[in-house]
Amino acid sequence: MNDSKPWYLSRTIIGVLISLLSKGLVALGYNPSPDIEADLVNLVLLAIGFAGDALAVYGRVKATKGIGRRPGDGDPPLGVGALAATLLLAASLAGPLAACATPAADTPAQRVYALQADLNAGLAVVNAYVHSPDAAARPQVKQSLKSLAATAVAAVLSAQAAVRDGNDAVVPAAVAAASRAVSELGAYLTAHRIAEAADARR
Amino acid sequence: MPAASAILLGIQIAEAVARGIHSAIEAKIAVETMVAEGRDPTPEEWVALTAVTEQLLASIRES
Repeated sequence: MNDSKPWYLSRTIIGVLISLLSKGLVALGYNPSPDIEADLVNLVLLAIGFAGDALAVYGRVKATKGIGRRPGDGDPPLGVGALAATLLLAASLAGPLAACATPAADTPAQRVYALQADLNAGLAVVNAYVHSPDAAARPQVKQSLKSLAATAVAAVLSAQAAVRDGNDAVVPAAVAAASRAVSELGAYLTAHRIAEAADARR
Repeated sequence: MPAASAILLGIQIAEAVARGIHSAIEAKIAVETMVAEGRDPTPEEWVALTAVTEQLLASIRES
């Protein structure tokens, strides 16, 4: 395990805390079902994700110093709006998608359905960004996002067709390809945020 | 970009994210229901989910 993350984003830790809370409720005479505990874990992670996004936007807007390259460095400086949007996009895509990802999906069809639901969440983010003025100032980023979105949609719809047709021979590869494409879309948003932060420090 | 425009952009994106996330959560609940009932998505469920996918992609392409 090489990558670390804050404790408050750990599904395991949040799950333990929820479990402890449930035990406390049992002591008080209330017996929550395991299903409710699972939902609470997801809701808590989702709430933490949104809180982090809101804090990132607030912090950036309230910052007294701008972020951007010095005049004459070539590309236009990163505006407050672009950074806020990118931070929100990347964090939102990673956080809520992680919280929304369901470990309960059993069959290939259920897994593809869950994957497509995650994709729709990501597409909503991409759609908001590509219509923003910041995207107009960064045509390469915009084009990359459009391309990755189209590729992910095609892959997921192919996987959907495979599972609905019951074509067992192609289902595993189709589902794997769809999962890869959706991951690449999310990875691009995350990597883009990192790249922009690195540019801002030059 | 003026601060007010940055805030508006953030709110618009957050709203879009919230709509997308809400849709994702609804679909997640649907998957858990499917698992509990031991079934795969119905044709109607696929159609509804795909309608959202295609609508979003069409909007992205129009940008």
